[in-house]
Amino acid sequence: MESFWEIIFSNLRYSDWSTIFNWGWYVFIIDIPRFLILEIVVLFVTFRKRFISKDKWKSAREKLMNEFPLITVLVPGHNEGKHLHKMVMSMQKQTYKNIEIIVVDDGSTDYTGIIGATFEKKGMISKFLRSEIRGGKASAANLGLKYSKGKFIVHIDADSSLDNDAIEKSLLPFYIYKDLGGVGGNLMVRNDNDSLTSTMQYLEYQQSISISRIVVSSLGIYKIISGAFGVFPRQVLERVGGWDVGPGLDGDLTVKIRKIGYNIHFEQTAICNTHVPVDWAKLAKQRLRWSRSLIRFRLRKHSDIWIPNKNFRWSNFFSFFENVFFGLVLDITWMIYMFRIIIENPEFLLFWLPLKYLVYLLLYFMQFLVCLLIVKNKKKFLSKIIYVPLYPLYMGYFMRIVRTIAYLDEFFFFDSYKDPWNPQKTSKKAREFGA
Amino acid sequence: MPERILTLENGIRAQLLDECIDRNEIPDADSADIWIINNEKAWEVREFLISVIRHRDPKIFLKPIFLQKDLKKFYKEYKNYNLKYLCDGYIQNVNIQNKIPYISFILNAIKKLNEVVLQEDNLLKKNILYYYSRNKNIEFYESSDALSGYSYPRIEACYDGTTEAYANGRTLLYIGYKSDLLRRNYADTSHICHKCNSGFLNYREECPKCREHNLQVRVLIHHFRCAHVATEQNFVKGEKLVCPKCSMELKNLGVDYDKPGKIFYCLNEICGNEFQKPLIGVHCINCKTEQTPSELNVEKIYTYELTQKAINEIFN
Repeated sequence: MESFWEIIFSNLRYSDWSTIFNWGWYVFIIDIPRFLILEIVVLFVTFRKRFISKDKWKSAREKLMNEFPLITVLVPGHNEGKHLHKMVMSMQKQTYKNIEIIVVDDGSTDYTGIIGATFEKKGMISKFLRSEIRGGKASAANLGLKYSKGKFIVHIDADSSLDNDAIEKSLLPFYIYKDLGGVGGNLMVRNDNDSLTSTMQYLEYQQSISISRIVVSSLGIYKIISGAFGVFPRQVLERVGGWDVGPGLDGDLTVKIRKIGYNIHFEQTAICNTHVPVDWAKLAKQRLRWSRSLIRFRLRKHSDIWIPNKNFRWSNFFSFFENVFFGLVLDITWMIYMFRIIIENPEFLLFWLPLKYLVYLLLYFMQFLVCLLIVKNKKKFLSKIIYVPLYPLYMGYFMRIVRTIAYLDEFFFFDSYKDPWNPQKTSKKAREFGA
Repeated sequence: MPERILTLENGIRAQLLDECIDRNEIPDADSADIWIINNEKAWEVREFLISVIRHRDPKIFLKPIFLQKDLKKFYKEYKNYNLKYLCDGYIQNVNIQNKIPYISFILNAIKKLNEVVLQEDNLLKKNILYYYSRNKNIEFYESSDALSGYSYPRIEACYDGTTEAYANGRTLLYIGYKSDLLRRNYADTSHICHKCNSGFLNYREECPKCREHNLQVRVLIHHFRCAHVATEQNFVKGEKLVCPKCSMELKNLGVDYDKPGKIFYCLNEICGNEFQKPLIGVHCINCKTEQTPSELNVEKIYTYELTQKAINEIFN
């Protein structure tokens, strides 16, 4: 241990800043400012809402309760029957009461059909629809949409459950902001104690996903409403024709809504507790799927966002730019620099890796503290502090490597179209028509 | 005019019955061995046969009775009278050639029974005597005219009224089985109205919300390319199927699209429910009762045969 610190200090003493800057400029001019800006914006947005625009939210609530529209909770899924009970229970406890629940079973091969039909019979859900043949999540969601009656559609995953006030909170933005085409809820991990994998994701959902969404939303460039919890006005969904073939259909839908001129809002107080993968392999698989859609949708299907034509919007452009820059470009940069260091100056790594680790550890600690200020359940969040030292490795290596692999295999091999997450028959057609 | 008596093969005396049937009058049992019905009025024949069956004198209710094949055309319209099952069947022009062994067997049995039974009022015993004399099992008979679809015409002829005849007939057989006089063999299971026991039931899908049965079923289509799902009507454009979402033509089932299910539409205007799992409602055509399938009575259908105990009891 002693020698480890000695190496770092001796290296620190002998390396001049120009060498460090040469190899790691992106850390200093991109990541450190990014972290700082993110945190300032997050704190500002959160506290402004909590204290300054409190009355606005109060009057929005009055408007909502006066109108009291019917809300459809749409739950499409394949083999998700075992999660339904928890989801239904969380719906019964909602503070907003005018709800219909529509569960769509996408050709499940387990007991989902029986479970769903039983819930329907008992009146615990309003409608249970079953597609005898698996058609993919998009078709299931579209089927549910067709037979729903609500003014707003709350799309949630069967393995998610909502906080008691989540639906109410997610509806309020529609009564505050103009031209809102969708509201994304704030996702929390509900199975954080299952494994180290899920604990790390707990931190990630709080520290990275939630925070970055608060920021992009306040900048007007929020572009992925998670399938786990999103709210859309029915008339907007009908205009864009509902969901298109996945994987990545949630981000795709959000872009389609943005393209017809609507804004998208992230509501941090509308909390959805979701079930995350508990082992690394499953997590990697999930993230490969998520990351592939960056290439598939941002660079391919919706490539027109980049082109200045009559439908061009700067906010859409920047939402893509932010996504592609921080996702793709920085990852590639990181890879190139890592290779360069390994090839040209491998002994520098001995100094650089620990230093970088320390820098990011510091940044993530700061971020942790900021999160602590805004999260609801502070005690629980604080108990995870011992995992923060692992966080730079989780985000910096595991996630980055998975992401990069996903970009490459989608770019060169169109792997998202081979993903068994979606039935082949639809993926084949989607690829044929560039969807 | 006295009814004609003929002497046929083997010295069997046959009496042709005509006018006494019009009057529903039972002739003297001793003047002939068998009776041949020579009357074309189905209803009157039925009434006569029932009177015979219900008679307490074994010489009468066991008497071999035949219908004329030539008169079959008059009875044809009245199949529900079950005339054939209330007697010993048809013969052609008083030709009993092929029935001789059958008739002799019956006559022998009657002779034997005459020594032990003078009069019989017990319906179960009467029937046991009858089936013993015919050396036959108590068979059910399937008919759309029977209340439950399965009837035992001779047993039921002992009672008035369709529903009562059905219920009492089954009870009689059950008592016979319970008291070990009849052995039963399973033949079928039937579901019948819980109120009137009728098997003439109409099963139809019902709206789970309003119980309306005026429903329309529509087929769902899933267009693979754009994941649009809607009923077939939404896709039909003239002769073609065109996707309302992406305007593409759907050409090949299984390649461009499939049909993942169907949806029922309730045509009750107030309800208008859309659903996939309809309830099943059962309407009894006979008594108009509405019921659910689980409310129906379940009946097992058996054939019955006499046990040794029954035969022993006859002669003791």
